[in-house]
Amino acid sequence: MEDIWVEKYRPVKLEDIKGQNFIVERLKAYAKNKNMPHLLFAGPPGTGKTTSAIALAIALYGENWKNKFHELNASDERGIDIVRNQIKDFARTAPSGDVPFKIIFLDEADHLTADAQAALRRTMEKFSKTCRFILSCNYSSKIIEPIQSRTSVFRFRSLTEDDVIERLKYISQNEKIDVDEDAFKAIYAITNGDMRKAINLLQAAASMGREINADTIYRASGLPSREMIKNLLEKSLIDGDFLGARDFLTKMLTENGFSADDIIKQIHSELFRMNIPEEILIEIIDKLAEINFMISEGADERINMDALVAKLTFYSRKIENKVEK
Amino acid sequence: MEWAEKYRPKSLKDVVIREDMLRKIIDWAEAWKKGRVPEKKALVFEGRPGIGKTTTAIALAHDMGWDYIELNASDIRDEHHIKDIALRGSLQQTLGVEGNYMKTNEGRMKLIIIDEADNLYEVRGPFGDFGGKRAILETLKLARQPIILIVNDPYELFKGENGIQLKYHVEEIEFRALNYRQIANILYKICQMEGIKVDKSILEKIAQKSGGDVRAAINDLEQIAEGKKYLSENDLNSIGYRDDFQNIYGTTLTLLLTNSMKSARETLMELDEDPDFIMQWIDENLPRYYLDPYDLDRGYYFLERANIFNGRIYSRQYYGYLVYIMDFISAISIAKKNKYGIHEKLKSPDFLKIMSRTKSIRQTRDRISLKLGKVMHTSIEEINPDIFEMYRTIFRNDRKFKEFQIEVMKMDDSEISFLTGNEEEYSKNEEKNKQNFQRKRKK
Repeated sequence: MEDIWVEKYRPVKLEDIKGQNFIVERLKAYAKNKNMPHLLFAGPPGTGKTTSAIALAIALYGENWKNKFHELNASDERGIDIVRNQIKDFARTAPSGDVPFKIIFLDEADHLTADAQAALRRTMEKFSKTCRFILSCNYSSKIIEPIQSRTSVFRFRSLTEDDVIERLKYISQNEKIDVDEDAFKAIYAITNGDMRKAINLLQAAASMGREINADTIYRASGLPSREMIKNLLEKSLIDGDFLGARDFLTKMLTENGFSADDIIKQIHSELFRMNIPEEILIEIIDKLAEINFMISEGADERINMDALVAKLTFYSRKIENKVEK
Repeated sequence: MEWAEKYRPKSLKDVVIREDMLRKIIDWAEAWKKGRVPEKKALVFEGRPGIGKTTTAIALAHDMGWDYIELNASDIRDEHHIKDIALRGSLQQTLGVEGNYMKTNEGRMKLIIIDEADNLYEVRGPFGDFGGKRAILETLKLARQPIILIVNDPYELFKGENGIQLKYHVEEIEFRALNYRQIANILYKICQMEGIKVDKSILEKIAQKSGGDVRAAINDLEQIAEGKKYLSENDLNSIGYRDDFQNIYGTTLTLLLTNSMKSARETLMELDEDPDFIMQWIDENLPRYYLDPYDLDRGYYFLERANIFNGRIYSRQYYGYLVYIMDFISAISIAKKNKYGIHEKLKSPDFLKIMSRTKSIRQTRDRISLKLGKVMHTSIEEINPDIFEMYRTIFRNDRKFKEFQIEVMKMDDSEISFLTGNEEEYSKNEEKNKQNFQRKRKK
């Protein structure tokens, strides 16, 4: 198990990329016809942007793809000199082989300075015979308009539960580990459509044993389980039992050793799954956010967390009979 | 070959451009051709991306039988390079497109195209464009060849002492976005040449989505049509929206109109944009919609909370707070007691531009401090703020001191205007200039 699974199972074929069907269908056509416009891949982490760029290069160039695919991680080298030198030099020479252009992949292009982006735009056009650009970013608003105009934009969506679990099942079979259904669901609940995180978490859990259930997943993630959080919220927010809830919370912090930060994060997700009236929900979250910040500022977390329980207990009155148990 | 390049018009007769503008440009070029140097030696093509500015300039050279030299932001454009390529080129020598000297027919005219002239990167260093604007100005004064400058934002070009002078030497040509029918026609011709069957209504949809940007529309067409012989409505699905107006507009509007935090949150997640950007839009438009002071106050409470956590992300470099920002922003939807309908157009925030300019003010100040620090053998921290303020006072009051300092410190425009005005005045002037500028353009 020495490989990093994220790399080991990174799809090399376009058709193995999950959850981005419209995009994959177009990329396959580009590979088949050996032509494409400049592309801008926008979307959250772990949704397949880098994987798609590499898989497209493999589909286009075959096994020698690395010679014709130049990856620049813009968060390392983000200045204008990169564009005026390195990129221009790579872009201007024609590649050998039957595909008339090379690809420059600018990962995290939203980290390029605006000046560097400005320097990029005529380069993209002047050398488009010999070079195509693929830019990836989380937020397209950080890419200047003239560059957006020069690219076709593909929006990568967060992956659905089915997409992620399907891939995780494939990996589990291959690695011969025994993962139950609740464990897959727990992975998705924790990682929210980020495939990279999901696979990392699965590998972490597998390192603890061949049989994996939801509990293993939560232990691997270092997060308190949903059951615990539900229990805590039931005691405080529904039953209004401050002392009971506080005892339970203290146990979580001391005996189980969960961090206040992680408990807060889990409470946050769970609150959204409950049926709390929105005007009350936002008041609770307001408090939650503040406590989260205070603790990171070095306030005594026990006192702050007790204050949170007090707040939750207080709201139990307000939402009486409004929330299903 | 990429379609946007493949179908870039070679000749002016294929460029979609307003007749009166075309007339102006051709008259100007004809004057050069006949050996009468026009009163304004340079044209400035202004306008948003993808509406044909660079294409028109290159097509003009083609139609007139001229060579052209192009300098754009991918080239280093400091004083030395501009003088070497543009100025020398505009005097006598014959140059190739890449700026290499080459032999062509004796006496042939050369068009100098300075593209992206609003994007001079005016800092010192091997890759900076220090002194670039001054060199452009000198080139304009001395040139014996036609020059075209191309910009998105003319304000950037005409600011500063050299920028103001530059304005006297040029004629501005304002390019307009094409309407969707014109764009659909262009797309239709491309489809014919690529042998693609398609209904015009589909092309009109692509055209409308492009917001007047022809290049974007051609890119979108290529995105969905590459390798296809027939296009249907379904093919439109893969086109991702550009970070355009409509999406942020729609999201902001939904937030202001809906009474459900859940649906506000979903719209926000769907938009998937930088919180800064969204918050500026809400700040600009909240008061236009939340007319009841109670609603406005509550609305701002949540916007402020989002803003505070945004600041905490920056200062702590901890992105875990991002969820709270989204929560607070979506809570703005339930901050109102009243229900509001669509009663006014939303306005896009100018603040984004102002922000980037105040950033440039800080950078200017730091650059001067750094120079001063070198001369005075001390750090920026020592210079700021005491020494700096005294230096500025002397600079403003003593003309001889000023002239000497400009020379020895090799100051550029922005540094000089930063020192001559006080900081608030500087930004106020910048803002005022900009507004005057826009007002004038509207006329």
